Amino acid sequence: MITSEKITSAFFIIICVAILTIAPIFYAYFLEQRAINTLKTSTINSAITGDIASRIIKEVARAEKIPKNETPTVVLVTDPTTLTPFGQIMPGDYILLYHQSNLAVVYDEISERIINAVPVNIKNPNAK
Amino acid sequence: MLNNILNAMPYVFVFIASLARPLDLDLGWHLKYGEYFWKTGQILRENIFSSEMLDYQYINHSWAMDVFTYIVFNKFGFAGLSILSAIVVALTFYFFAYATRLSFWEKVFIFPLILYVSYDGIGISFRSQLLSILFLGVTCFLLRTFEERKKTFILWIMVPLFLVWANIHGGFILGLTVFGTWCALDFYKKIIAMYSKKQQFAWSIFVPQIIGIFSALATLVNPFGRMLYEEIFRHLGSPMQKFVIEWMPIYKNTFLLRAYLISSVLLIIGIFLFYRKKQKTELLYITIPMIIFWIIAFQQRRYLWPAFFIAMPFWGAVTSFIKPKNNKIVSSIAIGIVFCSYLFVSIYNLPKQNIFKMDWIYYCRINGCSQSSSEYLIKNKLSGKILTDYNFGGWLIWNYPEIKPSIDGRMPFWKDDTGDGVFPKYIELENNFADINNSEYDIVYISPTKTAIFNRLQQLVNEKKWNVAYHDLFAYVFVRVR
Repeated sequence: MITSEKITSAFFIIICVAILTIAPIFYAYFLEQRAINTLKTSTINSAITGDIASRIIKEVARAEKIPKNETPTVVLVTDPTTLTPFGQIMPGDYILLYHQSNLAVVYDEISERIINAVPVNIKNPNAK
Repeated sequence: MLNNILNAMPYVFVFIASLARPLDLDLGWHLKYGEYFWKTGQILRENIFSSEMLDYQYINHSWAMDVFTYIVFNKFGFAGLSILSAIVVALTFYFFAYATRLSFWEKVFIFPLILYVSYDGIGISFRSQLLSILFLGVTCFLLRTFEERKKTFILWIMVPLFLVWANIHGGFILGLTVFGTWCALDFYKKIIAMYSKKQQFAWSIFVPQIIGIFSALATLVNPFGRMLYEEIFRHLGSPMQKFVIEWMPIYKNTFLLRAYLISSVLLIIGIFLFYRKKQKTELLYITIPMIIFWIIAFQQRRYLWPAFFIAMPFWGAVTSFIKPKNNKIVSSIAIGIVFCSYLFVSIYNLPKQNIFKMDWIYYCRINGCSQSSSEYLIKNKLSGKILTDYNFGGWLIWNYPEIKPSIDGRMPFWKDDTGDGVFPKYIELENNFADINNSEYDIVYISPTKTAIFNRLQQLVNEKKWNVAYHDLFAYVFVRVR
């Protein structure tokens, strides 16, 4: 016999399971939105340093033909409209500028792939 | 109540773990077929999407699935396909586990392992193959439920199931194999019982076999009728299979080969442990097809995924064997594993998938195609016959209908009246078994990862017989010098 206690219990189980199922999806959605908002509020195409830069350099260095003997400048793309010479790039991509090798590498962390590699001739503002 | 929540946790884990970006290379042409039906109300039978074998009469066995995929994609985009795919995978685990009567202990061990090994097959998109494995699970579930309850209406559900299945994917053959085996074994048992006079003859005792015949007939209720079977058998035994990833032998992939060999050992142990405790005839209708799928899988890896699922009772037997005697320890280990797995996929795996950000640009980046190269081709309207990369086909059909690919994922087994197909020709050129310079093609649109043809074309460029009209990291456009 179906009692009101059983119905309440079943309802509670469904709610708990639904929360456990949906919570990670909301969490993933929140992280994606936060990343988008961070890009919107960041300085336009600014150079980044620290842990993120080191991680990106390390990931890109795994590919063939990437200069291993210099540390590139890492730029986070926030406004691709001014960066057309680098090909079809999107906000969130990283551009790694290898000054000595005159090479720019576009890296997408989401697909974990190098999107483009173009020869460039940019003077390093930090160079002495 | 807590027990019920805990029992649901392995399925919640499977659902979250299966939330992945749709990366199927055939997605584009599936969407196009679905769109055609949605807009015209008719099933597209002729090939209108590619430049080769134009007007070929294609038996699209997944036509209903294409319509459904298109509707979901149209309303909810890539994220909708990701969620739908995860629901289907979770339901597949549910039906197989229910049919096998797996315990909580068994589920927490078996589910992550099956998911890990079969991820390449079931975790890449919402595909008709996925629904085929789900329906196979439903078949096993219905047979098990009938054996327990002996209510004939349970078996009658098979008829609409096979009717729907035959319009979703050609994999209904797997279901017919399982159901047919069950019917044959049931028939044999009844004949033996009548022979030994334990049971008297009556037509009513053969109702399951009659349902089996009706189920097989129901598969003919599809827009292509019996031609659907011709299309399925065209796939079997074709020498071209070895060039299509899904049909390749397992030994071509080191990970799958290792998984196959280790699982084979575990499977033998599992079968031994299972039948040591149970009657020799129990679940024989699962054991026989499972062994067949397992053996075929060595030659054609696509059978490995259903084989993994259908072998669940034997994985269960292995995990039960290592189960500690103390119930408290069992509960602690099982709860620990299920929650760690859940947290891992929720916090680490799912955010990395970026399912809400997914679009055709990311699809292209991950699969290795290039939008700029297609835009170049459209803008420059190069004249001459074009050869396109096999992997670009589906994506071009959906995104750039102006460019008709020479080949795509529908075509490996197509043959014209003379017995010739475009896929063998493509394979010869791609692998440089035939020289592209002696072919009828004037433009080659190819990924640099296709090294044989790519290197040959580079050589021809050096000889000034061909030019590189466009290139980026993902695609090259070579043009013959005239």
